Amino acid sequence: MRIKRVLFRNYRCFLDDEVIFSKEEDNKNINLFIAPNGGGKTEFLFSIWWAFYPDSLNFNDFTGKEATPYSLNGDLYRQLNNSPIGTRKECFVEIEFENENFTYVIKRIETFEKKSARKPTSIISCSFYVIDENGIAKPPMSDLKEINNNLERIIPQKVLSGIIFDGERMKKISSIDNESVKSIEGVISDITNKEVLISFESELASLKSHYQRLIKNYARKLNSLDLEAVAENIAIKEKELKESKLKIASINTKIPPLEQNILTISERLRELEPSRKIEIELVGATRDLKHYEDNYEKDLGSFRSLMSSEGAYMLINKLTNNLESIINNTDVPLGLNVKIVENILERDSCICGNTFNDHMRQNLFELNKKLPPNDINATIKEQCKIIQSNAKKTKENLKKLYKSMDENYQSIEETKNNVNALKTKLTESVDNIVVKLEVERAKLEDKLNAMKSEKEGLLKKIVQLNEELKKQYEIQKNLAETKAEINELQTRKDFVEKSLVAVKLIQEEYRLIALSEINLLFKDAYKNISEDYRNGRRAYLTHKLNKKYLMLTYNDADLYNYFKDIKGSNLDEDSLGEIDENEVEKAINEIKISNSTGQQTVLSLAFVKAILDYSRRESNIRDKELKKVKSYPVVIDAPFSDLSGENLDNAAASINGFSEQVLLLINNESFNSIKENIRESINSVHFFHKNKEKQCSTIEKGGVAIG
Amino acid sequence: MVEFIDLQYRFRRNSEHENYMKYLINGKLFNEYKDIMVLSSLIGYENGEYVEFNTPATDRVLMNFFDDADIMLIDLIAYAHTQDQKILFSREKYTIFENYYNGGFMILLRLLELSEYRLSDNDESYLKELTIKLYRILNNYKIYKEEHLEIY
Repeated sequence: MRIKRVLFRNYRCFLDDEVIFSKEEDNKNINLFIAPNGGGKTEFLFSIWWAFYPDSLNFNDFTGKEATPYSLNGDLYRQLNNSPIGTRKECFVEIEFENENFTYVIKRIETFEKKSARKPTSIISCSFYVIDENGIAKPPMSDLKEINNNLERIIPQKVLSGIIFDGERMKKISSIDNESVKSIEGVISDITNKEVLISFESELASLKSHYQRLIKNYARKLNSLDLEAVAENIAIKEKELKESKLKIASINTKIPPLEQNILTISERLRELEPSRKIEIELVGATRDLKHYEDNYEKDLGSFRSLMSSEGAYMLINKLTNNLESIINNTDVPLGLNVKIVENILERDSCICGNTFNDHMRQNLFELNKKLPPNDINATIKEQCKIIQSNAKKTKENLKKLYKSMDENYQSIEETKNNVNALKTKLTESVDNIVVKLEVERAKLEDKLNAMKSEKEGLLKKIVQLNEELKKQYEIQKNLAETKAEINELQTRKDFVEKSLVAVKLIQEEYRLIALSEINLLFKDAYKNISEDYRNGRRAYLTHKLNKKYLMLTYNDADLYNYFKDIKGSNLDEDSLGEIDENEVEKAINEIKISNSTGQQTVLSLAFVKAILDYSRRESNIRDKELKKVKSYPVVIDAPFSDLSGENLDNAAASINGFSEQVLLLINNESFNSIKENIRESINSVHFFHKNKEKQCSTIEKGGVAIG
Repeated sequence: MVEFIDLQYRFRRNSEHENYMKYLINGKLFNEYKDIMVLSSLIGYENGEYVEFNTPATDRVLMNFFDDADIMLIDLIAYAHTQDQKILFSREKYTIFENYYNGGFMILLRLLELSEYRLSDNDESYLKELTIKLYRILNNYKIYKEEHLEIY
């Protein structure tokens, strides 16, 4: 793989820049970028990373670089933030690269938009297209998944850790403290990850959490239904059921004798029935007699009272006859009296219209003598009529009462006869016996009904208990099944956990194998770079014992002597390679010698070289079937600082061997110190100019004939 | 019509009737003395038994025991007896009434066949018998001038 061109637009400190790389000729494979401090070396380095895998890059991790943690240039971002809603700004990095005779162009775009009063939001998009070996461009792709699949095939994400070394990371790797171990471990972890194992581990972790969730759910179910409580409930209900059944059995034995007793009493009552009927009839007749007698007495009272107060009217015949004969000739209209006639006489003419004459007046005077109050015969006549009317009414009322009395009297006589006849028929009084028997029967019937009612209640209770027990059995069964299910899930979870441990161990094992191989490559790289190698100084990357990822140096002679002391004087140089590697690492740990800063930098470069070699070899192994040889460009920032003398010369001279394309980012000072060593390998030179006003950098292509 | 009423008048009873009258009232044949007196006066008038008496009982019967119908009968008997309207404005009408009662009561006793020795007989059946007898008397008797009574 070779990068051909990088184009920037509004990306970080590069507003509008393009870098075009010439094709490698005559082993000239170093693309040199010379920049002052803060000129944009690191930004350039990570722009490549961002263009390929933006999700794995976090601008927040950059320290002392562009102020804003966004891909968009800081000034533009701030402008956008103060712009009206709806404003957009875009940045992109476009990389053209070739791989196996195909040319690829990837353009990573991030569009920022001010959607609200808050900070702008952004969307990352991508376009990717391929130009085949015949120069024919295929349709561009925009589907991120498809693009990533292609990128993973050409330049896997993990390889980026092994080919892009920024100044910060180089410093960390070459430091002599734990930072170095962590960085080395990080690089190795990145490049040695086996996707299949990671994927498998992820699957297992997901499965584990799935089982944990299921177990938790089942456990919750179990907790809500206490198995012991259910069993206790079942025992109680079973006991109640048993007791109810026993009670029913007991009731069943008591009911028949009771029914028999009731039957016997009923039989006896039936025998007494005729006498009982007569007795009832007698009671009725006696009641009737009393009724008639009462009526008779009542009528008699009324009859006597009426006869006393009004009976005299029945004896008025002679009186009224005599009075009538006394007043026989009296015929005066009722209401006509002396005063009225006197009123008439005061007039000149009669009320009939005739004028009064003496004769008429005489007659009226005569009339006055017969009128009340002068004469009261008319009134007496009227009174006679009243008392005659009263007499008639009294007679009728008395007659009615007498008739009623007579009827009652007849009824009394008849009823008395009936009572006497019934008394004669009734030989014995059975009333008391019947009442006693009926009371006894009623008591027995009450008892029987109570028992039947109790039995009915118990039967209902049994049905209810059976239903409840059925439910409880069901719950118990479910709980048992849930427990079994949990056990099964627990077994599965245990298996998954063990598998996870196994995967980790496999990963670790694989990493150790890789580390062992990297160690060999490391040692080899050290041999080429370090001036001390000639003096017997050797490098070693720990990978066997507890303290792994340490870059150590030792004297070859010391190691020989170490084992000679242990093994005896017969140890020769050939047999040193047969010693167990753990023992060797243990020995190296004991005989290690300290390094200067420069020596540590040499180790870092050797490590970078080893990592690059390993990555290249890994890819080649993977694509072995296709018989392809992988190569990646290396992008390295400030690798020669802290180096001097032969170490610097060696490192500089060997840098072109790191990869087929080396993107070397250094400052002027470093360049001057190594230019002689790399002159022959320089393919292109670019200068980064810092624009303090605009707070950006520009890239200018320079001539190759430097110095 | 009553032209004259002496509201303070107290009617005389014959002291010889005292026990009989008490018996009849106690036996519930009559409600009060005035009922016996009114009935008896009519029997007396019917039979022309106008009998004066000089042995009145000590407790006389007050006028206010008599109702309007009784007072009217008293007036009518007096008028029929004297055939003179002036009697109605005189206290003498009360005496006429008392004398007819006195004569009539004795007839009543004879019709009821109530003798002195029965006055201690409080048997209800006997009293009932007397009641029925009285009713039949009032309903069915005829009076002959020779004072011969016959019950139908």
